[in-house]
This record gives sequence, C-alpha cells and structure tokens, in this order.
Amino acid sequence: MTAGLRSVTPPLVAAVAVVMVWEVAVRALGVPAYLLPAPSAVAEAAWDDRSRLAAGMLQTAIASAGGLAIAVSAGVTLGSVLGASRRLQQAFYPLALLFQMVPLVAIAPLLVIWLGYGLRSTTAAAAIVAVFPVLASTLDGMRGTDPGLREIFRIHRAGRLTTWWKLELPASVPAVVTGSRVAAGLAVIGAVVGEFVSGSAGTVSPLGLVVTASMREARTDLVFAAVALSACVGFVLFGIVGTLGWLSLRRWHASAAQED
Amino acid sequence: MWRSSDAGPLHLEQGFVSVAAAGGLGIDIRGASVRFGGMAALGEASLQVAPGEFVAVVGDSGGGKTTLLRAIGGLLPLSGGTISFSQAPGPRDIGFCFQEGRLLPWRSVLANVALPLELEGVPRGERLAAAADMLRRMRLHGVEKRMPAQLSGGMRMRVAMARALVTRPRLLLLDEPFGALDEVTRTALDAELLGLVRESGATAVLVTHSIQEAVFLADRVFVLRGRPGVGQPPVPIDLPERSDRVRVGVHFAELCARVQQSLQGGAP
Repeated sequence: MTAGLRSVTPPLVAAVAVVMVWEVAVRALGVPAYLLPAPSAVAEAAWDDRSRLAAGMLQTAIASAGGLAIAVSAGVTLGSVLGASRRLQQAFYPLALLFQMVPLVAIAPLLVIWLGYGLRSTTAAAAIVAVFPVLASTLDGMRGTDPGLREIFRIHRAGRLTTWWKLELPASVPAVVTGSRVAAGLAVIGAVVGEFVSGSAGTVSPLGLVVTASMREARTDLVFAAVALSACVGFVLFGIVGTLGWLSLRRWHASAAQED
Repeated sequence: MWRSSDAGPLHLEQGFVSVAAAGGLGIDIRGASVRFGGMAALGEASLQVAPGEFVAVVGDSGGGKTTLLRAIGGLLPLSGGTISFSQAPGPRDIGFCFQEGRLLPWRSVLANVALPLELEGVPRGERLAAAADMLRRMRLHGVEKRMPAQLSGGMRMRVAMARALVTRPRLLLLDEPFGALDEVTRTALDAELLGLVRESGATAVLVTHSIQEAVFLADRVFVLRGRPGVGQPPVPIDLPERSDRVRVGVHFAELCARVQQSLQGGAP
C-alpha cells in the first residue's frame, strides 16, 4: 500500500507540475485558445460536452479492447505455431514483418471497403496494429525456452507436440505478457487512427472522430480533451493487461521461502 | 595421442563394490571420446561400473566430466569408443539430476515430480500418487503445492532429486547436483542422497568438483586428468562406514589425497 503510494506519487506530482506550468504559461503569454488552450479550458470544454465524449470514449474503448483481445489471441496462436516449426517460421515471419511495416492509415480505407464504417473497422485497425508485438514476443518466448528444460523433455522422449504444449507454450508466458503490454498501448493508437478514416457510423462519434471533427471546427480544446481521454483508455487497458499478467506470473516469481 | 587407461574388468575386482542390487544397470565404457567440431571435450575414458555401484567422476573443469555423463545418458554422441549397458535401458531406466535443478517454474512441486511419468504417459491419478509417495519418502510432504520459486535452493534440489527418482530408475546420473549449495546444506544432502541411492538399488554416476564429496559418496572415484580429460585408474574407496564422523578421519584424508594425486598426475 505505502509502496504503491510511493511509486505513484512522483509521476503524479510531475503531471500536476506540468499542467500548472502549462496553465500559467498560456495565461501569461496570452496564447490564443485555437493554438493551445489552457488546461482549465480543456477541462471546461470536456465537461460541457461530457455525454458525447463519454459515449465516444466508450466506443473507442470497445474498439481498443476488442482489437487487443483479437491481437493477443491471434498473436499467441500465430507466434506459437511459427515457433513450433523452423520452416514455417522461415516462410512466414518475414511476411509478418512486412505486414508490420505497412502504415495503418494506408490500409484503413481498405478496412472500410471490407468491413464498412464503424466499430468493426476500427476494431480491426486496433487488432492489426497490436498483433505484431504479441506475435514477435510469443515467438521469442518459444525460441528462448530454457535448453535445460528442453533436455528434461528430451530425456523422457517427449514428442514434438507434447514439448510444444507442456513446455514451450507455458515457458513463453512471460514474453507474451510483455508483448501484450506493448500491444495495449498500440491498440488504442490503432483504434483512434482507424476512427479517423472509418469512425463515422450511427450517432455516436468515437474519440478519433471527435478529434477530426473538432479540428475542422477549430475547437482545439475538444481536440485536447479527446486526446487526453484516449490516453486514459490506453492507460486503463495497460493497467488491465499488466494486472492480468502479474496474476498469471505471480506464482513463478514468489520470493524464496526461508527453509532448510 | 591419447593414452589408453583403465585396464577394464580388473578394476571391477579391485573396487570395493557395494552389494550390487538386482535393479541397477551395469555400464561398460570403452575408449569413449567426444569432440565438438574440432575441439576435444572428452579425451579418452574407459570404465566399467557394476550394477548398483556408486561411481563419482572428478576432474579439472573443462575436462569433460559432464560430457562423459551426458554421453552415458545418451544426450550426446561419442566421437570414438563405445558405451554399453548390462541391459538396454528403457525410457524410465535413467534418472537425471542437474545442478540447476531444472524445475518448471509454472508447475507445483508435485506436478514437477510427476513430470517424467506424465511424459511417459502414466495416467494422472497414478503418477500423482507416485510423485506424492516419492515426496513422502524424501520427507518433502507438505510442500507439494508450493511453487519452485517458493523453495530454498536446498529444497529445490531435493525436489529435483525426487523427480529423478520417481520413475524408479536403474541408473542415476547426477551432474553436480549440490554444486550451487552451501557446504552445510551440501553435507546434509550428501548423506540423504547416499541413503536414497542405496535404498533404490540403482547404479549411480556422480559428477562433482569436490573431492571430499566424491570420496564420501562413491564406491570408486574415477579421475579425468587434464583438459580434455583422460581417464585414470579408478581409486577404490574402502570406507568402513559413511557418516559425518568418517569425514574427519585419517583414512578419509588419505583417500582424498590419493584422488588428488591421481588428478595431478602423481603415482596413483
């Protein structure tokens, strides 16, 4: 509890300090609001538009979380399959890498063509951006399986499938957790960028759309509000993934007991 | 270029072999050598191990002690010579124990000990019962549900030992099992190991860098001299008993000196 408090306090203090400097600087220098609104103005605009922003935030959160879930499932599946076979790995890993290099903004219109406007496209965009770190770290985890443990399986003549299921897959869990944490932040980026292109569907505007619409209306305060809220989505998602990871790895790293 | 050593069966008769259990595997190593690429890892070793005998292997680090052990276990191929057994070993007949313990960190103690049986396809209930039984015999009951990270180094090694013994192997291959432990824990575990091995009737080959440990545990000590190691005639260990008292005796010191001499190239 106190340790947790102690680790949270410094960044909190730093954040408050930055916001205060920002506020004072904007007021003192008379920066026009359409260039850089003061934090207080951003908060005010956010409060005035709270119901629209909350609905948008929920929409973005659904796309990010859904995309992340797809990315983790697909990344672990693909990574562990590629990790099981050197030949598959040689054939498909470069393709995955190439896929990773394609800029999302360039394929977002394709997603609209295939999946239509709205949540399906933005979820897909989030998944596409987030899948690679999960895939790569799963693959690393599989390949990095302790050779000593591999030998135990070899001694007892375990088959390829058994070794994969009972050794390599569990051994890569720490790497999967690390990759998923990276993916959590990327999923939000993917969702918001996807929303720029394909977000408009129905009455609810997700945060990405709030950003582009507010930009056109020169409502810089709302742009800032939407950006801050999407960062919050990323933060919460990161927290959830981190907690799940910690829970699944807790028993691996419990402190040594005082015995014999 | 390699000297041939150990004139075969002669040493079997010379050694003060403990009562050979019917269960133990005999090993016949003839002119075994191992090369990795162009590098010789094991110069030349010949040794006959009787069923139920406890042989310790000592030698310079990098001399091929572990290489020899791994070759016996079939984990790496010989470049020359042969290793044969009194009977062809089945998958359950060889038990390995490594210095690092090599427990799976995501499995409980019980599931770790049951692993070899699980990999051999033994049904769940049966293998867990066998693992629990082995833990009880090693006075490790109560830690079944713990995770390896929750155990001390000594406890981890005892769990690793339980795993090596759970298949009731006829040959135990021990690679510096207590090498990472402190002297006090090590001495205690040595005595426990000796009891377990004798009780099981298995043949045991122990690699160690500690001459005292080798002399305390083994019926004979096999010395690999130099780098790559070349096998010397085994030193028979004729201790009247194996207790802590023996470790401070004159005869124990003499035996250690004899092994030391063989290691350094003096007259055996």
